[in-house]
Amino acid sequence: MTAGPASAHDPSFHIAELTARLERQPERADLYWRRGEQYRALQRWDEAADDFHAAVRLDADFADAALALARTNLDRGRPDEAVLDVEAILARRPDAASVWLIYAQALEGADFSAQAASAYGDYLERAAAPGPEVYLQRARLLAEAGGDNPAEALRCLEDGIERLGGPVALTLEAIAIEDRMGRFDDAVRRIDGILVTANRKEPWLARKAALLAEAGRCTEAVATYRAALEQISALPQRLRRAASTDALRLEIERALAALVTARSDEPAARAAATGGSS
Amino acid sequence: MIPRHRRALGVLMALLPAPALLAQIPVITRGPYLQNATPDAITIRWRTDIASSSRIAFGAAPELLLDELTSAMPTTEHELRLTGLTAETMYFYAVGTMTELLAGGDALHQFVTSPPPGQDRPVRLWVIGDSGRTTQAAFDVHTSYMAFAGARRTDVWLMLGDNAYNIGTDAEYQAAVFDKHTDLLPQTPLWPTYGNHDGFSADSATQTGPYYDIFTLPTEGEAGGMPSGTEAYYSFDFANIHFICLDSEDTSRAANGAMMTWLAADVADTTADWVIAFWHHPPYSKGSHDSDNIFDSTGRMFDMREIALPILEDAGVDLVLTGHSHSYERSFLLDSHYGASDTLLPSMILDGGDGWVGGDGAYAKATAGPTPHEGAVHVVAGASGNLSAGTLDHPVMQVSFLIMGSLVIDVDGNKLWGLYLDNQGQVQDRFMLVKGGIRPGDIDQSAHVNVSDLLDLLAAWGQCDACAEDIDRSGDVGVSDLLILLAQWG
Repeated sequence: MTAGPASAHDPSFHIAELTARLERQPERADLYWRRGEQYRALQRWDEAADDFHAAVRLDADFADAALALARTNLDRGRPDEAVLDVEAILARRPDAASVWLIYAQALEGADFSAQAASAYGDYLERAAAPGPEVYLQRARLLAEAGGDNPAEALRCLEDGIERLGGPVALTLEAIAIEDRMGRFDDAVRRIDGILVTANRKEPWLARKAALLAEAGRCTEAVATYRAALEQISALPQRLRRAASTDALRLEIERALAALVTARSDEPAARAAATGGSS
Repeated sequence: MIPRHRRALGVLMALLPAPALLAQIPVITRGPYLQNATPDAITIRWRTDIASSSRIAFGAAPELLLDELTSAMPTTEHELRLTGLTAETMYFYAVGTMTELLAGGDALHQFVTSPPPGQDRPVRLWVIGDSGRTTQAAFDVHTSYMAFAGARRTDVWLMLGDNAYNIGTDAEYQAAVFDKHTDLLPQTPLWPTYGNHDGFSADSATQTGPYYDIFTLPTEGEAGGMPSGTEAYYSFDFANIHFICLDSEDTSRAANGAMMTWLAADVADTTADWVIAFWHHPPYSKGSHDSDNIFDSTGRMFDMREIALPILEDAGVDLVLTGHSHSYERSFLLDSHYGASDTLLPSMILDGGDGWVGGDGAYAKATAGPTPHEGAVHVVAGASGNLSAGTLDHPVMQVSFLIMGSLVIDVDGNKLWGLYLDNQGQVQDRFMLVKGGIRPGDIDQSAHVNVSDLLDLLAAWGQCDACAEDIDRSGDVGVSDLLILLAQWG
């Protein structure tokens, strides 16, 4: 079989069809909007924006077209214009979750980080099924702002973890923030939570040991590194022989050696590292 | 059959005025179809024309539907999750309202729960890409596979995006999915990914639109793997295979974004023998989309190649399935090729043969488990709905052509067979992957191809449903299998 002519999934095909219809029905705002979406699919931003403008001129209440205009401005690197577009929509539809999301993205694009974090929060309050990305985005904006905001970032991540069933991306971000804040015990508790269901425990044990070492809990760190090595030894041969497992084992052994050297004046750590009782 | 209920309905019809009765008995307009299957649970969904309560009756035989699950909440979108099931067990079922079963109780309406994760079982996958057309040729893709499969159960069904043209509306899904695959939907769980055409009517950030309304996918790691927190990307285990579905269209593909962070954690956590990843935008293609053109699909093919592939190959991915280009393109055994096609080095092609036991030999990976950088096969299988031309000359591809069809994959122990079945029932490509140093003719996996294997083969001579002795996966054990075995002798 050979390929057919321009098919119905080709945006150019639809643009030609919609252009012909617009010549007959230039008052149809929906046709401008539909053609704009096809231009948008082709990244022909200026033509897309012209069509969305035309749709909104014909029907000032046409929220989909107004939102598409904002998205187009965002896509073509004009976040300031997108902010104004969305603010006009929000004045009419303050409860539309998806509008708040575009607003937050536009504000972030325009470098209004604090306002963007706030708008992401407004979106999350209204959204029925938000994904983890928005929680992550908001938490990072808050954490980067410094001051008391890292704690707020953690609250944001906690909300997402609870609401979305514990997505690992949010848990890892929370661990990273807690690590930076020196809240090692909290980070360790999160890793313990992951360890409950993880199929491969050794990388998480290694991460936990590193956090314990940072917290100055060297004896526990040594014991946890050793537990990670034991976990590796217990793996089936096909997993134990893998290069990635080897790399992890070497990393653990190096960390363990460094820890023991640094704490060589502590008999307990030395004993734990060498297999004796502490 | 549901004779008792039907008899009751007959009596009722005689007593009630016809219009009143018609107004009260819903008609199934979609499904039933199966989602989010695990060893001990499965979700069954269906749609009725009017709102009603929901009921699933299920059991060990069509006439023994002794257990049931109900919901009194009136709805047209029925969705119930059966839990507490036994792994690897066949269940028959019927669906309906709390007072009337509307479909099922027959041989069509049955499923088998997944095997426990990690168990080595023969597994059959059916893979269709860009399948969302309703032409006769697109229907023929389905028909030819069903004829090929015969009595062999399809365990896992993957859909590679652009599942319903033109813009993934509910009506388009009805025509391109639910009215097309009527004999597979009640029996085999469907695991989809999100294509650009699905994205015209749906939104991954808010998980809204027809795609997200229609499918029920794991978010909390309930089917295996790490919790993703979203239906946009997810993973699941089936027997000794870990499947990973990514959203290459509408979710951030940033290296530090939620999806790639999840991917790295998820794929590093698996202990499965096989890792199969699937999404829509191909990392390598010279079909109707050009993976060398950064403006094509707004750089999505670049992102998946440069960001997702290194994570997957670091964790030992075996097979990457994509669509988007409406062609069939299948690679050599490949590793660490993250640039445009002109940056391909000979060292990145780990095996430049045809990957077939009857040809240059199967692609071999030294280690049985998920081991980094031992190579993966990449398949663009986007010709299940229509064809679109391209240069079809990507240098990583062993074969590239414009023929409508679907991909059939069998996995058994440390061997994986792939074949491309066209919509006229002809096999157009075959490849095989073997892990752990076991050669194709080594039926008893003794590390030698010898008399013991020969005796196994002769004992299975003739018809054989995906058995180990059917080395070339032709459907029977015959002369071609014998020749392959003899060629591997020693």
